[in-house]
Amino acid sequence: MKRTLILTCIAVYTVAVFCQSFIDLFLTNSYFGRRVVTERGANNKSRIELVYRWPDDKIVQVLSPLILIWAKHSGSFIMGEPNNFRISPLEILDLEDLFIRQLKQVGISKTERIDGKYKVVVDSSSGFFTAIINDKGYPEKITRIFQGVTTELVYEEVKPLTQKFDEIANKYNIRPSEATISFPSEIKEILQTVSWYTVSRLKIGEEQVILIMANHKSGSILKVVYASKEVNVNMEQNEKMIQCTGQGYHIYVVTQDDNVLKQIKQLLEK
Amino acid sequence: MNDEDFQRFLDGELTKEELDEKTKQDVKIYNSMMQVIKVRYHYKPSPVLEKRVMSKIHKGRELFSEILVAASVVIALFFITLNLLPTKIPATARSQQASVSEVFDYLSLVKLVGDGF
Repeated sequence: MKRTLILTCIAVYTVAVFCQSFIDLFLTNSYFGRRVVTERGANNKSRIELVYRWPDDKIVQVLSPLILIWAKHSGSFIMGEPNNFRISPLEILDLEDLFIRQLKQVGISKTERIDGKYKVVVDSSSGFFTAIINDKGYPEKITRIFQGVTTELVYEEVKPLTQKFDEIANKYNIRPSEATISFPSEIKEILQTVSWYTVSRLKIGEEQVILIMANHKSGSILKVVYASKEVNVNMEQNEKMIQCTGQGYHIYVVTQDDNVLKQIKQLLEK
Repeated sequence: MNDEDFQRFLDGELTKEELDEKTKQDVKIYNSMMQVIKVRYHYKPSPVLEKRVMSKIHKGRELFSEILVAASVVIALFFITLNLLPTKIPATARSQQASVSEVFDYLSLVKLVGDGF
């Protein structure tokens, strides 16, 4: 009995150490790859991208459905096309970044070894993530299931990347830019509390407005209306609203959740 | 010299004949000296010197006015440049006045290339 227990402990320890090593490799590797991202749910979308990834930086060239380049460097984000890059006020996170974030925050829920590859499961409030990582620490596939929407990222080809960020940035003419995309800071603050959003245009009276439907990180639904003039926003019976007026714009935040409303109010009062 | 007689002579109490020889000599020296002082007191520079001095004064004034004009031009150019060249202040204000279309396009783009927050 004692021997079985000791052997079990050794086996568990060995598996844990082995798993740790390929996760460490995955987190610290630099690689280049071509990948396809698909999203299936209420709306379907797909992207084809070339990715240059370093442990802390990233350059992504979106090939389809439109041609665009975005990069993460020293904690800030820029997007655009060669010779016309601007700082993105919002973070741009792909499925890989979201998986790494949840992996660090929540930890691994389950690990399996299948055909010489590792299947890593992270079950978090931001979604149920499954990643297939090979023994060299390169990702092959990452899937997230969140509120009926399945997002899948599949690497067609992954190669080690020896070039530095600056070399690839020069290739794409990515220059440090001071110009930031015009964006109301209040919406940036609000979107930092959500894990998901959809955006649409609609008319209230004669006024063209933007409706952002978002999932707050607590799970509540949040509606944000952005208008250049004051408008009458219709609410359902249990909903509450706060209004914020900026320089030439009006923002209306509607939710049923009192705590979420309180949090947003505090953010807007900063 | 008899000082008292000398003073009394200058005050007109004594005539020249009433003075002794030594005092008479001193009165003569005194008169010559007064003559020289009078000439020096009524000094008038020569036309050449006057021209040279006046020219120096005019040159100084011209230099001062040239410096004044140059400084005025520089200050005027400085203010014109400040008012004509765009500053960063309007850019900041513009970033706060993002139009509905700009905000929609940017959010749609982030939504398209990103997978959430």
